[in-house]
Amino acid sequence: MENSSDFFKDLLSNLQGCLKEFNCASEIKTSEQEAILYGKISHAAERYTIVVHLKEENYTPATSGMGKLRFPDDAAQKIRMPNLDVQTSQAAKSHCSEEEQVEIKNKFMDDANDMGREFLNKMKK
Amino acid sequence: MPTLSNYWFKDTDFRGETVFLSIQHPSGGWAWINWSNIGEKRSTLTWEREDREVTYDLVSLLNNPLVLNLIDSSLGDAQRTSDLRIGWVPRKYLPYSSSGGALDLFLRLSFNFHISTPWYCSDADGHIDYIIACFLDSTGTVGARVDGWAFDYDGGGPFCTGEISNRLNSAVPGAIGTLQEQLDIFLGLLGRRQFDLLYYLPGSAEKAGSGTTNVNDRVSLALLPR
Repeated sequence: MENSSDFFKDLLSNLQGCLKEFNCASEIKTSEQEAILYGKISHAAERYTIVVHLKEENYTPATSGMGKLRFPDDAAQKIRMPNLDVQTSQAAKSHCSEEEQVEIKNKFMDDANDMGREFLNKMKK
Repeated sequence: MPTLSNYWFKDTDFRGETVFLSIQHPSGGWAWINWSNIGEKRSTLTWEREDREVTYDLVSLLNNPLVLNLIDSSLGDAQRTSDLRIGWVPRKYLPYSSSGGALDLFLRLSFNFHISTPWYCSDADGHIDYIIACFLDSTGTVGARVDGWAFDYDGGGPFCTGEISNRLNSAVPGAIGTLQEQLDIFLGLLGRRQFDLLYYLPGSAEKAGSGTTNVNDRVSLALLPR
């Protein structure tokens, strides 16, 4: 791969030099497995386009990519993620009355409003 | 009064277009749901929601100018061409292999992008995804981490796909630091509170009535505060 890239640059630079002798300005773009030279040239009142595409014969460019970040194994053990498995009890069930639940929620919402304001302020900075 | 929410999904394993209906009912009594015609559906879920539940519609929360500017400024040559979508994705459908429960739920933050190319190539259009794992630790504190990333596009031919993919392979993971930083700021504030349970609900977590949504693109975060 590295060899290809060096080879592409070498070959296309030489071609670029030849084209310059014909007053043709060209540009080169290279990636690891392919490279392009493109330019335009005028001759006898006609404009011409030059494109040279180089690639490794077996290279098929991907149009997708992905990656996973690595985390220490112990991190996975300490967490409870949401999931859709059938579980009889994942949470501490509520033992309080409906009125108490509403009170818990209202108290949280007061805190949450403050948190939201603080978050937006931090983002603005 | 608790609320019973019933969800029907177009695809197996609780994915895709979702029809929902929520109804309040007295504790110890039936919750009645009559579906006239549920159509072609492949999976269903029911959840009984406590009165202390608090929910955040993540799509509404994140599509604000501050977050959008942050994302746009980290995209390099790519232009964002859609609002942010935040759906759930079970572990078994992640774009990369991951060990753990097959139906552990991750969030997928995604948006469409466009990349303009020189005249000799077609422009590229596709989507970028960030996979986020939210969780409660053993003390009941909320945490979240960016678990992975993916992109997929059409176009760029005949000569530019290599260069476009190279750039995306660098820019997409390159933005994870910024994303994690913002998650940490938000969760640092939420970390003042403890919760008994964290879960996701399809759509905007409506507590009454029926409607449709797509769980791949829109979910809400639900928490039971202590």
